[in-house]
Amino acid sequence: MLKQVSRKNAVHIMLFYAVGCNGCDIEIVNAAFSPFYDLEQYKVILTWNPREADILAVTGAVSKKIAPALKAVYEAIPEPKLVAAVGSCAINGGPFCNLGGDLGSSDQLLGGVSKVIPVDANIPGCPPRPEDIIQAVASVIPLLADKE
Amino acid sequence: MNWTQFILATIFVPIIAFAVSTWVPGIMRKIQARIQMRIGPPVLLPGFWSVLKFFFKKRIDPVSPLPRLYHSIPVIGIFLMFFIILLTNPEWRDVLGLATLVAIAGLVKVEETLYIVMGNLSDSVLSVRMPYPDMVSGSTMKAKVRRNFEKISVTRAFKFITVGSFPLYLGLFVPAMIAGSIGIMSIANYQGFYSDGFTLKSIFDLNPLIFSVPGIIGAIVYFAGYLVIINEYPFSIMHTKADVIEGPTLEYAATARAGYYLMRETTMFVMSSIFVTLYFGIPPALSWAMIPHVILAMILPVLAAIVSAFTPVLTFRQVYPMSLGFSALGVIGVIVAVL
Amino acid sequence: MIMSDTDRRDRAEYEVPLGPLHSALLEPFRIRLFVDDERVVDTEITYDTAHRGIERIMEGMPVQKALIITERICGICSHVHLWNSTRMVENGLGIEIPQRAEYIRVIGNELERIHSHLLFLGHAFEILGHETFSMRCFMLREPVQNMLFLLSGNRVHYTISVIGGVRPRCDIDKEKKKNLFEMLNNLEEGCKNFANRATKDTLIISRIKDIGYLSKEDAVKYGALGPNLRASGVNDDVRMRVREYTDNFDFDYIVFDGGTVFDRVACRVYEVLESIKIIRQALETLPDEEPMNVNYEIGEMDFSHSYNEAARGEIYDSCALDESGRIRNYIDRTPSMTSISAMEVSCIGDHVTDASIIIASCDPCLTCTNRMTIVDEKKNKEYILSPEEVKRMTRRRKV
Repeated sequence: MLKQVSRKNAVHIMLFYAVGCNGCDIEIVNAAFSPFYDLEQYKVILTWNPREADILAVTGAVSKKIAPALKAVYEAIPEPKLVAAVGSCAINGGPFCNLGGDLGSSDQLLGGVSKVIPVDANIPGCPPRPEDIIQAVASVIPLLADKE
Repeated sequence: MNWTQFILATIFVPIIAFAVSTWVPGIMRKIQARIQMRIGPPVLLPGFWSVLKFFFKKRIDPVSPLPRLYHSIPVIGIFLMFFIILLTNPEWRDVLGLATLVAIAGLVKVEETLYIVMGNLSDSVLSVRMPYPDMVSGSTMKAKVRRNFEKISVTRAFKFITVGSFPLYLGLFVPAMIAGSIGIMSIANYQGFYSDGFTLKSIFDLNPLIFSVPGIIGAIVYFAGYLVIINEYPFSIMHTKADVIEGPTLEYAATARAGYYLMRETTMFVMSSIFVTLYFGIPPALSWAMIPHVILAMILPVLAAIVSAFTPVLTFRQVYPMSLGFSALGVIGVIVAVL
Repeated sequence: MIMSDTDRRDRAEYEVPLGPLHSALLEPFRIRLFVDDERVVDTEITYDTAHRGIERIMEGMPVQKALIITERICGICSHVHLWNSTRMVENGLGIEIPQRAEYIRVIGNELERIHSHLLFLGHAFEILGHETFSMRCFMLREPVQNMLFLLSGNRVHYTISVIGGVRPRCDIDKEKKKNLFEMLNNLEEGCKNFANRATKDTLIISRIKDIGYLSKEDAVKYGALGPNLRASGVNDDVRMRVREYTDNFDFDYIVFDGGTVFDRVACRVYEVLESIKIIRQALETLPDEEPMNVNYEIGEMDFSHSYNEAARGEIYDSCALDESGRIRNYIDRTPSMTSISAMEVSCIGDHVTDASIIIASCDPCLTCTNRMTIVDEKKNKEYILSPEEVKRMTRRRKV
């Protein structure tokens, strides 16, 4: 019982910027770091160390160069952990993997984040508004409390 | 020596220190948040709920040459702090002649060197081990040793020990010059504290050192030293986000991270508690004196939160002159105390 | 500091790699600092992590669909990329656009410049370690985002320009005009108060003065652009050559002489105040017309190009269209690539912690940096330069 209560009352979130256009990164920084949409009042604290984190929020699509780094950071987070894919590029590659002319779409990108690590929450939008991000993070925290 | 009083004090004073210190980081974070014009986290979150949550995470093996030593360092830190606060307790006055300022200075020095040991034993995924196809593309520099963030923090911790810690020791020394003795209880007795029959009304009969001229100078110098030893914002280059992310503590996870949080909290509380004992004359005795002691021990963390909200991180270009300036102020305080 | 390559190799003791994921970097790129007792002796910056292949995607797409992708090159300077590419197509096909549309595009560009510079200030203060000022900058920036949301329907990626003018939803009516004026007044007052407060703080000034020096010759030689160039004393701004600005508006170009981080920061703060002036002039003299010209034909177009001034410097677009209106050989060049290479030089001689604020002071937008395509008419072929070749071209010569 103490386990569930303490997991709901203190959550550490970590950001990973993969290959995106930066719009989602700025909206997450707005959500976590600006006084308007202060995320700390909802008991979610921003950290930069995977050993301290519970939730990993990934923005941007995944390219061949950054996939090993993403995997290494994901494996460094201790259980229980969740992954949130923020923005349409993180969900399925966005416009860079699904549009193309004569030469097809990009050959450096693998696609969304789920090609490399398992994803628990998808937040669509290009970019999603800070209110959407806060709502998504707040609704996914009970999943964390229920893990063993 | 009254054995029952002694054993009660030895057990309960650290427990009270432990319990009160879980509030301290939360209060600091809330004050910083209100200065930044936002609602901050709930007051118990950084100190209590985070620690509990980390206890329930799955244990991992840290990437380190000596993992068991690495994991035992926070425990050593916590016990050092308990030892320090027990030395300022009236029941420990006659124990082997240890209750002097020299013992406190020595134990604080050991606490500072713990960071050096920590940094050398840690190798995080965020620094050198981050996988990137770098080494093949070559550069003008070949075969240079790659140093990770933790070792850079160790160099900085060493620089802090040599130059940055003078203010703290001078701040400890000024009350000894005023009271004429290095025994902690003698300094408290000089200000009018007697451990038998202390009631809340006796506070008004005390004559605290902080209300005298050398006392105020010493208090300011001690405050600067306090900021250095808890590595708060003006002097937090050892774990700044700008390059070393978190410094020597990067590989702590789960239980060990809870231990590190507790070590940090108890340091914040105990160093402030020493300030109250020396400058206000109210030691953490297991009697009515504990209540004003705990209340007054919140002054330094609150002031530290306010100062840290308004300053950037200073590099050594600015830290050296500032530290030497505060040390000069401390020497002036010692001279005024003698005269 | 002038040192030959062998001197540098002897002096550097060890290497500090700052990887793709780091708290000081807003995007993934790789910095290797070669250090001698915490003083930087040499740097190597690798910025090909953010490559997405934009020019490859656009080859052969119909032009109306393809131009939307240029907006998603960058989330911070999205409007100016879209404006520049539509302007290039309109110039090449000879499409007339109403003057009201030009004014609204200029307003969008200046609003973007304001929010980009305020974001840079917030990020710079965060790296300096001053969380309070960083949050004040973000608070100053929020009304600008809300204004863009009111103007166009989205906080980022506003899609104001289309071929032929401006999307009718982004037209400015009385209500929006009133809101814009109110927001501009509050913003100007807030910015001036904040600038006064920040310049009086001795600790901050002591952190950013005298580091990251980039001389005038080096700035021109290594290709620094935008405010980085103007902070080193070179009086050059692409807006001097853009017809929409020079014909209609009257404003100053901000030039500083110092070349240090302080000058780059101050240059951007004053540019915000100039942008507020331009938006006020545009709103007051907005001509009364339709926002969009729908009578045009898309057909074959020979190579046409366009230059413009984004918040970070000069951008350039060029392409050709074949008979069915599909894009051939799109080229997009952005300012951050050469600005970052200039920062490699200016880091030398400073402390390691100062290196991250120096690199951040050129306001890098890595997502804008694409590969450069060279079309060689004499040999009749084209090839793409890899990042290593570009870096070799911009690397310092032996001194």
